[in-house]
Amino acid sequence: MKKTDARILAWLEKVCPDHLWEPIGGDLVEQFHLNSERRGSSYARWKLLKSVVGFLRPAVLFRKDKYHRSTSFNSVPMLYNYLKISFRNLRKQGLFTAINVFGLAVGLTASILIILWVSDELAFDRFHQDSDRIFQVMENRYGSEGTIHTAENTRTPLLPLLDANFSHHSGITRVWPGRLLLQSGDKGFYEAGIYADADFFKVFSFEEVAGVAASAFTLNNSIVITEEVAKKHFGNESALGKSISTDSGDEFIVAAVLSNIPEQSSLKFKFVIPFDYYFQRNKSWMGQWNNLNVKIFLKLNGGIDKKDAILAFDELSPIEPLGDNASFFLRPFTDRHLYNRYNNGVQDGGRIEYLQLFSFIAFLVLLIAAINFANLSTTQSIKRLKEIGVRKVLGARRKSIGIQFAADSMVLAFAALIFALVMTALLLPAFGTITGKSILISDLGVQSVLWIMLTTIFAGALGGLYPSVYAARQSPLSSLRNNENATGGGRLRKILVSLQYISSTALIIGSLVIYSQMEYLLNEDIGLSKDRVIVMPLRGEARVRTEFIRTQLEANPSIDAVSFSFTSPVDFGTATSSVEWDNKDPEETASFSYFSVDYNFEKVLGLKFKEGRSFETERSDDTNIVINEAAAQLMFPGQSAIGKEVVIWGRRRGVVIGVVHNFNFRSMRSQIPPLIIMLKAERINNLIASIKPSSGWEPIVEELSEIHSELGSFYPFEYSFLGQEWEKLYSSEQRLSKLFNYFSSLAILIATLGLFALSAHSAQQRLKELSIRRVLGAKVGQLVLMFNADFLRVLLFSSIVGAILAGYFLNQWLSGFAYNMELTAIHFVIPPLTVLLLASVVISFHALMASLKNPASILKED
Amino acid sequence: MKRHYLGEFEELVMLIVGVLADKAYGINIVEEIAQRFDRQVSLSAVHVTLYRLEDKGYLESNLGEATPIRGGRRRRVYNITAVGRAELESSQIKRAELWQLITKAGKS
Repeated sequence: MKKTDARILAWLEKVCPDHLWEPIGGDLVEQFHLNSERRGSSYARWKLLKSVVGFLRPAVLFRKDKYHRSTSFNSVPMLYNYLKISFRNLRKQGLFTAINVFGLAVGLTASILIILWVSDELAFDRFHQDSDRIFQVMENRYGSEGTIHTAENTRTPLLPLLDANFSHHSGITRVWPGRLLLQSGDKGFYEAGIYADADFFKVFSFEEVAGVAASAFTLNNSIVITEEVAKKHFGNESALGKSISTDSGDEFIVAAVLSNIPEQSSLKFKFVIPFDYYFQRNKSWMGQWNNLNVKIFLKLNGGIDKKDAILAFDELSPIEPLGDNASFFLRPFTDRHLYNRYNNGVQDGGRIEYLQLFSFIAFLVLLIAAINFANLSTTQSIKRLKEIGVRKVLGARRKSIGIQFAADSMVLAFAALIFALVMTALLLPAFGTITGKSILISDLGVQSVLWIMLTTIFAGALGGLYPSVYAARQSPLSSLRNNENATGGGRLRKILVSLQYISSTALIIGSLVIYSQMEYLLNEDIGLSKDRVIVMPLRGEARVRTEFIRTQLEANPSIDAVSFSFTSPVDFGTATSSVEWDNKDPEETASFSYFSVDYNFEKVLGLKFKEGRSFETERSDDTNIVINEAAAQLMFPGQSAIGKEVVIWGRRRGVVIGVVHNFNFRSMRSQIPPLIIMLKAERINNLIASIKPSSGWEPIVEELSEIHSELGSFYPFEYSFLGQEWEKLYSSEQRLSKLFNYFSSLAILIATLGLFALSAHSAQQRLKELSIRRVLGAKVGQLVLMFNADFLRVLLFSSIVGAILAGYFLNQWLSGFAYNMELTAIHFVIPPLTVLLLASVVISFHALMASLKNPASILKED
Repeated sequence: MKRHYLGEFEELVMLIVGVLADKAYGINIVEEIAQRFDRQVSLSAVHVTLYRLEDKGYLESNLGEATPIRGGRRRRVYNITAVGRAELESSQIKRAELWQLITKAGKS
């Protein structure tokens, strides 16, 4: 038989099932010999080829093994043996097992938490009936430079117009927020609520506890309250028909009680009062087309296709009084929470990006954990090569060894899952405080459970893959010799480790940058001294006794300055486009934020004047204004704004007396808008006061409390700090930043655990090598260095790749902010260095332990 | 138990296995058929048929000894089981009955 023939046979052996091969191969060889004796070797080869091809049929290739059925005879004792050996191994490798299970459990816990959070976010606003047919009317406003500004606040008179011209809705409502003191008997509580049209309850389906909300607003003096409010006022009595009065003295009759508004509602309120009630009292400004205030929601009626309705709606624009300045479109209500950012008229992400980011992190953490699990299981199984060898010698087949190892790893993976579920349940309350949600583990949907199970199985399979496929295929001889080179897999492990480190480096850089950006936003000099300002809402009599309050407070030595304002100095939503000045471009539709204050506001807020002066009591500044740089730039580019005449709302004619440096009064995600500061243009709602730098808060709070009781007010005593309100603007980002920190610490923890175990393994594998090196005169330090170099090469590479990836994504994230910190080399150097250092400590530890052993005791075995 | 019917080739292979007694294995069966019937059958066809007959319970097999001519590989030797023998016999009886009917018809 020649080489070619042998090769043909070897090839068939590869594809032929093991249990059939021996007789087939034997027969083929015998046939070959018979044929070559009869008709020569080339004929024999031809016949051999023909026979071999003949065997390539399903009945041969896919035939199940029926000759070894006898193994099932002792399978129970065998299984028992598997279990016993497994447990012995796990116990013997106690530390590894613990690290292995713990690492995977931590990874699973992190992803379960993220899955819970993400599915909670995705369920926002979906509890309404036919939530997919509820839409919000959005407005696009066109600026003179071709810019488009998209807003959800729109115009009050729009509703009757839409109601008349758009017939495809089964309900349309305006919503305007209000904070009122609700009183019944001797009880009074401030509550945040809304004014809404009667259709509100047709559009939305908030659950009723008592009464019928849909017919509640037939009378203008009806009020709908939530269960919580009803309990506070009427205890366990039925609230229906009871009367509640507000600060203005008007009485309302409770027409329906709603169960408390679900957390997953983007509309939050404690009471609803008919919109018309508010409108009648504020017609003068609300009735105007150029004021932006209410939000409008509608529900499509059942008869029309959504796409057609949206098209029909788009055709309504332009709307008569606005012309080309604005157009309106429908946004799905369920998008309100997650897709809330628009850039120049185009939907541009929003909160959904965080969901995507966190889903990605969940995936990464899980990947790191799974890789870890696979790596550790693999190294553990290499230690069991001798066992595999003995089993094979005693007649175990490849398959049964494969199954044994796969099952081993699967059992460990599921142990980790159980551990993870317990951890999740324990961590959920803490997780709830960070995210500001109350999530239960029972909120896990079927899909999420399946996904988690799949991941566990995946990790288990990955961990069992190497030993069950590769190690089981080894010939008993080489596994008994316990030859590390024969086990291979070293390169694969290195690739997996570097994947882990790429992910963790990127995550650490990410959390560092996100954290610094948050710090930057909170601590950056925003142009006003927010940290020294206290804000107290004024109500009832206090509102007219401002001079009394001012004299009282100014007498207090720890108080620096006192003023009053219409709104809180940060995040106020009041804006108008009704501003006229000389040479105004007729196309210009810019809207100006406005802020109504009393004297001394600049001292309280620490504002600095670029030019001009502030309002002064001695002069008649009543209709004069102060503007910010952005407004000056917009109205009077290239010239001084001082002394220029400006008309606001068509009736307030005044002169610009001062220009203040830009200061931030909104989230720093956006640019500073043009601002007009007016003197007492609207009623006073807030006291704002600043303390002297040397003073603490106590004296001023005490003073305010005294004034409060002196005015004999029955209103609750409330105050807040400007710094806190500023932080509130970032609360969601801060929460996310915290979460991000936690998850990336987890990632690095898992990855380090993995490295710890891997380097321990490697040190053990190379024990003999190290010993020989020592005998030949190597110093311990040199050995540790050598060991480090081996690992650090891989880690260095991973760190660089991780840093590049992180840099790319972070740049994109930061560009979403109008004000962002600069990415510096430090952000990209420190985290990888920390990782490398940590890794090096771990590796050195094991290398040192291995090097310090007595070479004689290790080498004597051979 | 479901009753299996024997195909022509299956019956032939079974008979040969019976004839070869303790020497019935793949290539030997092919050679025997070639000698007795001058019929060339492929080795793989014989193997597959043997598997099928074994599955049906008509044959049983054991690994035999290895010989140098087989490259040191063992042969799988087949034997007829009791069930297989009964099946062959009943098939034989059925045929004999049919033959008798044919000869009678030919005579008359």
